[in-house]
Amino acid sequence: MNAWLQAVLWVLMILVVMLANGSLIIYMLRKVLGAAHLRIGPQELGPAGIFQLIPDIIKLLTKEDRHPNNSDRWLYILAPIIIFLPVLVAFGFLPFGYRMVAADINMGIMMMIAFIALVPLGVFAAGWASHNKYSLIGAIRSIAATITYEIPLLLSVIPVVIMAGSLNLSEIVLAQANSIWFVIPALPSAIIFLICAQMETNQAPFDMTEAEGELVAGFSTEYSAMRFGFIFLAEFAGNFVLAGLAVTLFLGGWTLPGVDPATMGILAPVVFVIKTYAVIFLFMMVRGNFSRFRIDRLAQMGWKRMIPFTLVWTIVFAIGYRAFQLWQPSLGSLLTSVFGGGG
Amino acid sequence: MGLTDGYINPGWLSPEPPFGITVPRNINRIADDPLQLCTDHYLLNVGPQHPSTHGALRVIMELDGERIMSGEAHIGQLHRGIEKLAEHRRYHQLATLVDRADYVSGITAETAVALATEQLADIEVPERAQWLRCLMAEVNRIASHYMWMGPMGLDSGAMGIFLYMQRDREAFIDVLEEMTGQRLMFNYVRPGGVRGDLTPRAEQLLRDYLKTGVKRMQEHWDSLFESELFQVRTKDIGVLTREQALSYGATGFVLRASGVDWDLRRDRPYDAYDQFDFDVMTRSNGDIFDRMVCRLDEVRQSLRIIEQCLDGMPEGPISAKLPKVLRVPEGDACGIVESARGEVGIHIYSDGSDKPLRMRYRPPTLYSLAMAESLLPGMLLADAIVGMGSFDFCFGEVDR
Repeated sequence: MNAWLQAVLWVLMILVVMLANGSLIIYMLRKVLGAAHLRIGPQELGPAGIFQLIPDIIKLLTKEDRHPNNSDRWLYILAPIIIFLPVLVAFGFLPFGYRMVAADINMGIMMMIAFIALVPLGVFAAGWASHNKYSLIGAIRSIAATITYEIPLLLSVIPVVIMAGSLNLSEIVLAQANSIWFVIPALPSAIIFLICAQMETNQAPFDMTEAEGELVAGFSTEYSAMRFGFIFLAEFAGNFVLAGLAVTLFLGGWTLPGVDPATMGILAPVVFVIKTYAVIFLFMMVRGNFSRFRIDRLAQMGWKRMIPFTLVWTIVFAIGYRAFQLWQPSLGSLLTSVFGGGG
Repeated sequence: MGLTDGYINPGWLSPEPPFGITVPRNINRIADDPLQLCTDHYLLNVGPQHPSTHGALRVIMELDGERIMSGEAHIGQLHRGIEKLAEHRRYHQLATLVDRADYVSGITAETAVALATEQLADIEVPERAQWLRCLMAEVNRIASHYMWMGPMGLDSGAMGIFLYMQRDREAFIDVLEEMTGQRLMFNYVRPGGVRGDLTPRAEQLLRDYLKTGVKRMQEHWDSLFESELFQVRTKDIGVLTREQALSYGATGFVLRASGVDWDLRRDRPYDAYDQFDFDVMTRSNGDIFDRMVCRLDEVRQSLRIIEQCLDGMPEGPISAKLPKVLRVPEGDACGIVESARGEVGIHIYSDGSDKPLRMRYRPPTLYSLAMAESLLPGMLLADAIVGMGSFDFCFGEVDR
């Protein structure tokens, strides 16, 4: 096939997945968070309110597109796109199945985290351009939070890379299919990764950037209509990307234990999406039940607890893993025969 | 978290901060040092449309980054001239006005009006009416406490607890609706007695809650108060010392959270409160967490009073026989009750006609507002929202 045509098809597919994911997460958010809060959620339009999204989209599309006086107009227009695009690109690195990945490159993890790390830039641009003090406070908080969580996020990935021996996400998935899910040997890393993912997606208890009790709506206070819609679509897509990354790194990606990856076929993306939404469900339950961090407490947790812990844990893990490899090859093959697939 | 754990404790007011920590007021204004980043303070207008000012409060804060340098509360957005309107209402009609002053716990304010009028006109209230007043006041107190604790969760970012509290409040609001026909503006307590008797359904609703209430309160305790994230946001923050509380005229739970053992229901009992067995809950730190725990404990005590009310309610009439148009002798009288937010005092001057010459409403939260304002300097913005919320302002009452 023509390489250009292939690229366009991939981008279109990612857009479709992204939109479908956005609508699914909105519905799930309303119902899951509603159940966690003793509420019902939408119920009027369609069975169990599944068509609630349609009027929501109509509302977003038809609302007045205004921008505040004295705002930095071009930056204000550009900011939602800066938030949206990196997440769109990050989608391209997620392996949905065997060779079902838009960009199967050897630097998969690095590229993915690099693109996700661009999002706070857009958040800051939005807050800065809005010419609103609440937005500005939210924007500055997002920068302060970014440098707190990016480092432990990266460090928590290292044990996975050590075990898989590759930065390529597809190979990490296959490595898990050949041995065990990496969440078992690297559980502390998985927990740190999930906490950082929660921060990365600006969800409670780490929603300081949009803390509605304090900052009205934080960096997005002045946004309305489809620009607001883009910010939210990016947030939900970010949710999926981070959850998908967690699944890929720690929960075996699109494979199932005991099933030959080569025979998964069309089942692979289904398995992947189900696992991803299970992680998103976990995010939502945390989101619905805890008090918000204060930004200085977050920095304290990041710099004083998470970074030293992940550093020490990564070193300990690396040494332990090497020792395991050297002295217990027989145990390794035993584990493989118990947990691993036939691949 | 101790006070010295890397943080400036924002709660202090005294010129000598504890543990030798100093808050440099102009930390960013050292312009002589070229390496020092020079930043400016800025003003932030919080409210009256801000999502968490609990009504129509406007606070103008001078901020240095997120640290508040000074704060100024502007009130009056909800002023309806209730005290002036009272001069054109008959004594029976005053309850409808004070309902709209403290719209979250109306029964207690109504009781204060009734007490003042009864003192002026020298009316004997039947025993059953007194017990019904106590019962309804406690029901309303719990509803009001839940209405405050839930939004405190919202202020600190925990959205779930708000709706759990609303569920529990709903049980008590249902009782109030059953007894008075209203969910908010009860107009239930009147000079000489109360308007309606205890209905079987209301009693059933209350007995049902008494069975499940302890378990539900344990749920609240586990999900909000036990949460470390919440404790970090509330402990050692917004500290009001015993001396400050007394000098600012704090009453009610604010005073008790600061360690003063004072409750009108026990120390100057009105209605039937001298016949109930209950404890006055006090805490010692005076921070946000203590104010919350103090009120959760109060809910437990209120449940005890409700149980005693239901078990020992005396028979008899629910209202004294009074003329349709009540004329009271010349003079003045003051009715003071322990409201959910503190002491509500209503002072009525009478010139002998059927309408008061002057009514003065003493709102407890107006004084709390002064305390909250004095605590603002040195706090972080995020703490200030929780801190101001912890005083439970009701702006219908503050502005009147």
